[in-house]
Amino acid sequence: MVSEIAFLRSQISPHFMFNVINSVVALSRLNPPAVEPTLIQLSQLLRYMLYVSDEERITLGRKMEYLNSYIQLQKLRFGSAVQVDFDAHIGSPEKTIEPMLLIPFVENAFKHGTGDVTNPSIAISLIADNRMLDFRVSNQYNPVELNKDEHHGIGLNNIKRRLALLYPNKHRLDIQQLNSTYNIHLQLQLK
Amino acid sequence: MIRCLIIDDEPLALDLLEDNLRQVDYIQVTGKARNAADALRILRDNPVDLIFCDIQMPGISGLQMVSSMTVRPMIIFVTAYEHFALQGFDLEVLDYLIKPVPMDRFLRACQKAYRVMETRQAAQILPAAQSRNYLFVYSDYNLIKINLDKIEFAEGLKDYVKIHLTGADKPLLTRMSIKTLEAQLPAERFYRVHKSYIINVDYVQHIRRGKIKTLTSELPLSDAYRDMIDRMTGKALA
Repeated sequence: MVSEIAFLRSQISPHFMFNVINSVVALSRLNPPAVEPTLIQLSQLLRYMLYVSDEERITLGRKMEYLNSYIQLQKLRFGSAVQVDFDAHIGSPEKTIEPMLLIPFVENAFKHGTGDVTNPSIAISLIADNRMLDFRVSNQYNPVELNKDEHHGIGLNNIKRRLALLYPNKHRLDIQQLNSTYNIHLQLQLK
Repeated sequence: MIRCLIIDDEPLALDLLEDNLRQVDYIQVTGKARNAADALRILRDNPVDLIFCDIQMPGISGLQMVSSMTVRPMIIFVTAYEHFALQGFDLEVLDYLIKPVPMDRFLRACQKAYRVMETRQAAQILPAAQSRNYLFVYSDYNLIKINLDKIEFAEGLKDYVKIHLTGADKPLLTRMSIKTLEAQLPAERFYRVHKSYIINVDYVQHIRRGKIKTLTSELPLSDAYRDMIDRMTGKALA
């Protein structure tokens, strides 16, 4: 149990969870029919976070469900304030991948793409066949704000290190900052 | 009534705060903002007594916003982060609530605001020492000293009083009733001549056809204040 909690804390900010729960409190009073689907999304996310260990590989099918729950919950928090598109085509859902390779990019997109930004919009696409995975995230951002965030660079370096360990010479990560758009493009040769 | 602004970057969280406050009849939400920049803009035109404020917001954080304000209304932080509480207390905020906030805890915070407000208003209503030739009033979050000789007249609006000062290009707006102001002004120089006006007799020029002319303006007289007007002109003694 201790390790489960430690793991939970390591991968998703507890404050995200409390904000989602606060949204559920709001819905229970202001929009009761939305409570049930929201709690179901939340339990999918929790199940994934509690029971998928760091070493274990998960199927792309589950990975996609997890991403989807996470995105739906973020959309609930920010409502119409941000336009979110999530597009997924998984040719071989039984193929597996290590956890925590994709979600940090999505977390960053919500962190930097929902704030002091004109016309906030986030586009996420996950395409995979039985050999390759192609993952793209793009969001609008405010360069001034991004430079103030000292954790941003650390988080990014962690992912790069993990990719180098797990997919040596078998991945490609492009990060582009154009005007006020932040684009990441990750390609992996699936194992 | 306590006027209040609510600030949160999440729309649902903002709706929840507003709904909570609907259950508090002595607090009125006069503004809502999704970030600190909007909040500061709203405050410029619509000052409030109390702010409910999220901390972690895009752009300027709640802590940064509050520490940048030179004179602050009462602040209650509402946040999912427990670890900012210490900084909150450094800023002398009124209360610090953790999301999700139990309703009874929320109401306790509101009652705290009510008590502080009551104490402040009681302090304002204390009659001024008659020997003093000045008065302090709140305006735009500043406590401003007014020399009584400069007051030409005061005009009561709904919750505000406009104090017209000689030599000033615009009147000073302060949040109090005209009755409160009247109680603070020495009765031998200041006369209530109408339900909306107090005038300084030093600036009166003449009275003609139900109107009284001061240095810059012509103001209505009201029969309801006939005794006061008679006392000013000395007619009662004649």
